[in-house]
Amino acid sequence: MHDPVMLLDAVLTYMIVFAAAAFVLWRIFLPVRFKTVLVHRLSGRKEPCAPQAEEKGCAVGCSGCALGSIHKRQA
Amino acid sequence: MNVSVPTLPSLRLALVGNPNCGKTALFNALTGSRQKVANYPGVTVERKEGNFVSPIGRPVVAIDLPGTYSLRGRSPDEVVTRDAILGRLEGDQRPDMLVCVADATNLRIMLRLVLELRNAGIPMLLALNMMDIARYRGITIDVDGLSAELGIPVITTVAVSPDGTQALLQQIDAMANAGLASTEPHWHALDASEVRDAHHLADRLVDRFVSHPANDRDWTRRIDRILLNPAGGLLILLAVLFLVFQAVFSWATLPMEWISAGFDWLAQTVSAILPAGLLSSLITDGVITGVGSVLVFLPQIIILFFFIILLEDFGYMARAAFLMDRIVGGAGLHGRSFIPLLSSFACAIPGIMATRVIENRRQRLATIMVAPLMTCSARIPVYTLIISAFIPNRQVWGMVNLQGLVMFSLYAAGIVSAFAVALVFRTFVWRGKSEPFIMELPGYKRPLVRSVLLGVVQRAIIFLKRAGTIILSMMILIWFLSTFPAPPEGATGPAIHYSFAGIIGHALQPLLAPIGFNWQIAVALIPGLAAREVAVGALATVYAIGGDASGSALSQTLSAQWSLATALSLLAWYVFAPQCASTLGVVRRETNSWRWPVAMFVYMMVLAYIASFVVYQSAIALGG
Ligand SMILES: Nc1nc2c(ncn2[C@@H]2O[C@H](COP(=O)(O)OP(=O)(O)OP(=O)(O)O)[C@@H](O)[C@H]2O)c(=O)[nH]1
Ligand SMILES: [Mg+2]
Repeated sequence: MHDPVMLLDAVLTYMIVFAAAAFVLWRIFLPVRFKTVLVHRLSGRKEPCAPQAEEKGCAVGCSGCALGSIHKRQA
Repeated sequence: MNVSVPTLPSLRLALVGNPNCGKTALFNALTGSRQKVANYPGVTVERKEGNFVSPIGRPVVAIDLPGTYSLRGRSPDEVVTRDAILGRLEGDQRPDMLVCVADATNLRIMLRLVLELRNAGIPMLLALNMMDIARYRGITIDVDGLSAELGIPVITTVAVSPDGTQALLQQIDAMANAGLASTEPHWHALDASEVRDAHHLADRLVDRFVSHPANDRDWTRRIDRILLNPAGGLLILLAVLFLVFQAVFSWATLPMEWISAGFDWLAQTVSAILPAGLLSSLITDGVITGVGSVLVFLPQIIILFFFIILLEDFGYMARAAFLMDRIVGGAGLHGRSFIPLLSSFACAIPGIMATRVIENRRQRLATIMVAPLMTCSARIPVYTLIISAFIPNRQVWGMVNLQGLVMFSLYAAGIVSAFAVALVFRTFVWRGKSEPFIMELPGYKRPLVRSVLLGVVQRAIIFLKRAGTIILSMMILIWFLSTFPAPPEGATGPAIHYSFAGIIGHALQPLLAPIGFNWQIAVALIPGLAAREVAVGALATVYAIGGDASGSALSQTLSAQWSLATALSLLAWYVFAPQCASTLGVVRRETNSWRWPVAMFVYMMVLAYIASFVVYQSAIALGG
């Protein structure tokens, strides 16, 4: 483990795994309400009081339901 | 766009009209959105907003609404439309202008709604959409006369042609410039005699201003005589479905080989560049093998959606539903259940949302409960993987491909069980009279190449995005769980047995042994709950790390490691199992209670276990 290459290898691996875990946690496990509040707090705005409707329908986004959201054409 | 005009006040404009008259197509043409458009009624069930800028530079918010015949609001989707127009939605401003969209080939029904909408107190205009079809069929409409009689501007549109919305845009600007003044709504539910009066008035208007040619060039009736023929129609339906599945298998073979060769090359290159270690294993065994094994199915998904969208646009899907009702008539599902069930072939979630068109709450619930039994597109990777590993690719009865036949039967199993379960629900849970099948069949339309291709590309992008985000990160986690903790000093046996995944898999395995699942399958089923197709990637990674992979293709590994009985049992499992947490979440949201998602989970789980048990034990008994 004292080999710098091995160390770098391990650090990079753990970072990737950690990022993936955070992403999965965010996308699948956290409730929408919690995410709305968190996003607004972090950007310094006050969060809206009514729970925001989830535009996408499902958190994971299947082949069908992501179509439910509005995609604006790039102007 | 005129830059010299200072910012004009923005305008809220709502699109209202009967189902399937092209509101969403217009909305997409105006705003550049990509909302779902299909040739059957009941596609839009939610209110959607989009923005555009009018020719003179006025910012406009367009609102697309579910189709309706009146403002009575009998089903949840119609309530959305009514409340949006009457300004009853909390925190939602009433629109400044209504664009009434009519199918120019079927004006009568829309005129009734227009007469009713006058009571909403919002300035409006009437857009006669699908003018291209009306013109082709020789229907002429006296636009000026109609406009004078109704007292509102009337223009014509073709939502699907690039410049078919010009007149509409100009009219919007003209009306906005002249000033728009809404009054308080004075709408009230019409009583029977008022409804009758409105019908008579609409009939008179049609007689005065619309003329149909002596011989209408409407092919719909002629085509229906063949396609809806009691005997022949069913045969044609079976043949169509069958051809689609054959195509899914035979056309996809070559591109799938290319993709999997591409990923093999990538894995080899990466492992040659990176020093052997954790990172190299993560990228080759986790990311490339795992995500690659899912991405291989892109061609099949594209082919399937190509056919689905083609048939939808043509107008055949609604007929398929009609024919199905003939076979299963008496299963007690509502006529309006069929569109939600058809949508569930893409994904159960939009299917469950589409049940909002059903007025009767019990029937809506029954439809929601069986929607996940329809074969959604996330099952395709699992089905095709196992089929290509275990079912020989040969012809039976001369020309039928055996793999396509098995796939076809899996879809059929889903459909048949959905009707069986619905029947059980209707018999034991919600007794009540079943209603006759009433559904308007849309007219046939020539599918537009552009819109079919666009739809297919859109699906492909969604699949790729999904693979690149959620599937990718889940594969990384699966790799982690299969690699750590490292085996203790002096351990015998493969390292993966000592990992978290190995421990979990071995703990679950006794439970799944009666249905023939090994510990690797147990491991794969867990992430499969978040997204069905991750199970395929998880199998690939678990076998790759465990060192049991034989050859590059996952299907080769599986056919070496599993018995036929296990493979068939897993197929049966996937027909029934509630392998999708997002579906359960949507059921909770749509029914507003935990009761139904829990009931759904339990019944599907029981069904899956029983089905797998029966399949596995009989396959073993038959010497599988
Ligand atoms: N030829 C032709 N087809 C059209 C036109 N407008 C819409 N369509 C087709 O008509 C079908 C129905 O269009 P949609 O936009 O889904 O109809 P909708 O009014 O939103 O229907 P709901 O959401 O079910 O109420 C689709 O197949 C469209 O491609 C048109 O002007 N000309
Ligand atoms: Mg629509």
